[in-house]
Amino acid sequence: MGRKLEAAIAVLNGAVGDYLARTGNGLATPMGLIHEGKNLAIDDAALSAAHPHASGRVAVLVHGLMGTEGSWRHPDGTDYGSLLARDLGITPLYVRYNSGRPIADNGALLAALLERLIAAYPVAIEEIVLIGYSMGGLVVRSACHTASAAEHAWLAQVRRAIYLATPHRGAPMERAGRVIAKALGAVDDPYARLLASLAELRSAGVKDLGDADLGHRDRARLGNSQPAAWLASIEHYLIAGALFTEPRLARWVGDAMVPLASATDGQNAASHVRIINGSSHARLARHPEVYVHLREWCAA
Amino acid sequence: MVCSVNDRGRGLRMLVHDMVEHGSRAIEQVHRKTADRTFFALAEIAPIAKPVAVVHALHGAHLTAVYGAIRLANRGISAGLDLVPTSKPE
Repeated sequence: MGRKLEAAIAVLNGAVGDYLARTGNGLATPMGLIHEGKNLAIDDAALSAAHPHASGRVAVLVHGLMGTEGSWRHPDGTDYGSLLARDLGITPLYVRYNSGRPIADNGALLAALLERLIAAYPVAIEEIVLIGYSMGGLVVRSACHTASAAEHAWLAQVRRAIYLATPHRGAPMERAGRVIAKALGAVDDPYARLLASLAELRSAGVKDLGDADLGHRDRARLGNSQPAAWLASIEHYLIAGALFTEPRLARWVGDAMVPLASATDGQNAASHVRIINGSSHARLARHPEVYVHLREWCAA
Repeated sequence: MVCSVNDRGRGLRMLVHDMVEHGSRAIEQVHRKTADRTFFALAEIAPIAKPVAVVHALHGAHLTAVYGAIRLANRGISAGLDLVPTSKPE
């Protein structure tokens, strides 16, 4: 029941989380670390108790829209974090956040959280590996930009960031939804206007996915402009899903939510990009083949 | 982070309250605009224009009263529930 309730609240947050946060509603999920389903305070004692064998290498896992840390769970109870701990001795830390808030807000909150983490972590942090799934990848990138501008200390410890099914060039479904909402709003009919108003209720986080808006300045732009810049100080690794093996279909459909061009972003070197054939969007959060690549990149 | 049970209970009450408040306004508007179309069309017929105007006004007042009562009850229930002490300790 607890896990299902958390999942239901995560869906609510993804749908109208910006409204919940704005109105001070207790159902809004604050950003934080979660360990075994409970809050993990960012202080030496709590972190030491949760991770008695904490290593200097840390993996921070950031879930996607309407998700929780449960999104990562494989059927056998493991997840990418626990597997990285087992195979490479990397300590996994799971972030939970309100995915309905603007990506820029969540990026700023994640940056602040990591700055507190680096000060409170029980051993000196040698490396932070950032792993973001879907929207989580955009939150990771937004956090890095915030940290770069604010000269946060944690950014120096990030050498690699791994993005799974992240819509770096936006999500066409959201853009289509935007057009439909606008078209309905233009129809002189009370029922059509009502539907348009309902469509407009979708959260700021969902709207940001349309053009992968990482910052507040991106959010203000009109139409589809250039993808946001990649932070040069970090190695960026990308994993995309392709439901179909036929190249043209694979390119357009991608994992059914994110097209290949968006998830792989043309600018990245082939050695940093992997495509998982036959995988849907949701599957990429817990796919054995994805883990093979994660381990390879994290071990390098 | 996970919020407390009490915070979430209050949050759920707030959410239901907001849904009824905003939802009733949106539906009232659709109701009113749909009815307006019919009344405006009937008002074009000269012999019945006057009685139509009266019925239109009565209908408008009725809508205001019904949807207003829904919102009033919603606020009353919300305020009443806020007075109920939370039984489960944090």
